[in-house]
Amino acid sequence: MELIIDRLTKHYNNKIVADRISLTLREGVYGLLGANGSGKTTLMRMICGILKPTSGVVKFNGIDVSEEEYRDSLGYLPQDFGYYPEFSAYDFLLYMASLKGLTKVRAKDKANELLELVGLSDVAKKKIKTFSGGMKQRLGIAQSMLNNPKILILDEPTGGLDPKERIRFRNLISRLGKDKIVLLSTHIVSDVEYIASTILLMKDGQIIHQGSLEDILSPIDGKVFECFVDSHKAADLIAAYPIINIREESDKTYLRLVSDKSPCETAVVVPAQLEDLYLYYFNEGENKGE
Amino acid sequence: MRNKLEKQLKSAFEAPVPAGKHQFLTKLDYPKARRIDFFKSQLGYIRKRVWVLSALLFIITFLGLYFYHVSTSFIWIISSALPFISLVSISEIVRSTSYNMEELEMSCKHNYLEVSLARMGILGAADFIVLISILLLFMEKTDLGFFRLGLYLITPFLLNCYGSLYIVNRLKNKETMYICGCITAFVSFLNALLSIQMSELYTEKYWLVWAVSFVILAVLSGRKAAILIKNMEELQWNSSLTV
Repeated sequence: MELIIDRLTKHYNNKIVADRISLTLREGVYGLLGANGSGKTTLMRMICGILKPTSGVVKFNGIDVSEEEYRDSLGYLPQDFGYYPEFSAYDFLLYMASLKGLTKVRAKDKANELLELVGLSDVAKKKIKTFSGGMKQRLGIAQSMLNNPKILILDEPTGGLDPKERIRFRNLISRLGKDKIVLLSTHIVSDVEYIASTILLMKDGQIIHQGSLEDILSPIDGKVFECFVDSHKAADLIAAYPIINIREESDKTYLRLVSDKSPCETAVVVPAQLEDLYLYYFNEGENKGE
Repeated sequence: MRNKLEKQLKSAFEAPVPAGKHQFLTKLDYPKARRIDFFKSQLGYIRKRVWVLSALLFIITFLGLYFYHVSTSFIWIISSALPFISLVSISEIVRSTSYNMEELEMSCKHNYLEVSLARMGILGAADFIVLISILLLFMEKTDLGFFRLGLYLITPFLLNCYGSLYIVNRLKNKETMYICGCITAFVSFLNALLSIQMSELYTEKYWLVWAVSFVILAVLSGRKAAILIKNMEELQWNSSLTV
């Protein structure tokens, strides 16, 4: 099982939103991290065949993204999706199942099974318009799994879910990665940290880093420092280094920052986390003074 | 004897828990629905108001023709009502966009384009049946002839198709159908007004004007429908799309 993305590029109005992206994805969970406007959604839409790339190809086991057979292997949860106002959760799943080519009998079984899985079986017959954002999101996740897809593309799947639901879905997605290619984008760094076997860091339409958590953290390993300093020193450090975290305490300022060498006498090296790397890359240019 | 033995065996030994049942079921390739099943399923998702409005128009025409004699006023009343049939049909075709379902539908095996073509096919056939049925009812009661009567009834319908498709191709938001509704009301009103003001509108004198208008509007509507289909092949970039 192999999803090949080869030199995928998308231009729009002279703006490059995806720039020669090449990836080979196999079974596992891939976490796509990037700031707003970095091109994550465009990349996902091209992988789903919803946007046509300016150049480049997307193939799954040799099947082109434009083919019906490719879409038959695909499950997709967009960042934002609507629904027909007269639909209940159950109607919605039956409708999506008909588009995914499921037989009526199979659609009913699968809809009931997935409603149970996402904890919506009690409200299956209720109109979607009465649902909260989290319930709608759970329904979206359910529809993406209707056709037992081999490729699962989830754009911000845990957005709108409460912490308990998020953990539940994190575990579910993690399990799905055993026999599927799961690509998920999120702003919640901890989600990616916990479940993604491979992390893809995206910036300005390009994949700037990819690898396991250990691989991806290596550029800042041993370079993350924490210190407590007075307000004058804090101002100097903020101007000079990429700052990960600031917390004002009664008489001191707590700083977490990235630096090649110890930024001050009181600074101590701490283990790097994905959030440090994310903020390091996406704050770049704002306050990186090294 | 055998049943008894089976029962005894069942009570004596507990059946083992199936190993790998879930994995087996998830890997199983279930039979897929045929394309015709997909088409039939789409028929069920057309909203009732389409069928109700079409049936209502047909029944009103039938009753009107049965109880009253055909006059030019009856022609303009029916031809002014027909654009509303095209409005409900177009609202059905662009329903995915109106309710932000197009992105989800595009990723499915039977994608947004197929869904829309299925809807167009079903609604086109339904509209055709309604138009032909009304024409045939009129034919019984008038000596205007099939084609001439067809021109009078269908030209306003085509004008509305063109105007609505023009808007639908340009705007992609929930308000699109309200604008189309305004166009329909305008076409209907214009048709009624012209018919009332110009007493010779349905005479030989304007026959050529009707024919030319019909051909031009049919071609323009066809072109707009082709653009609509082309736009359905991928998500159209607009201000609501983020990167």
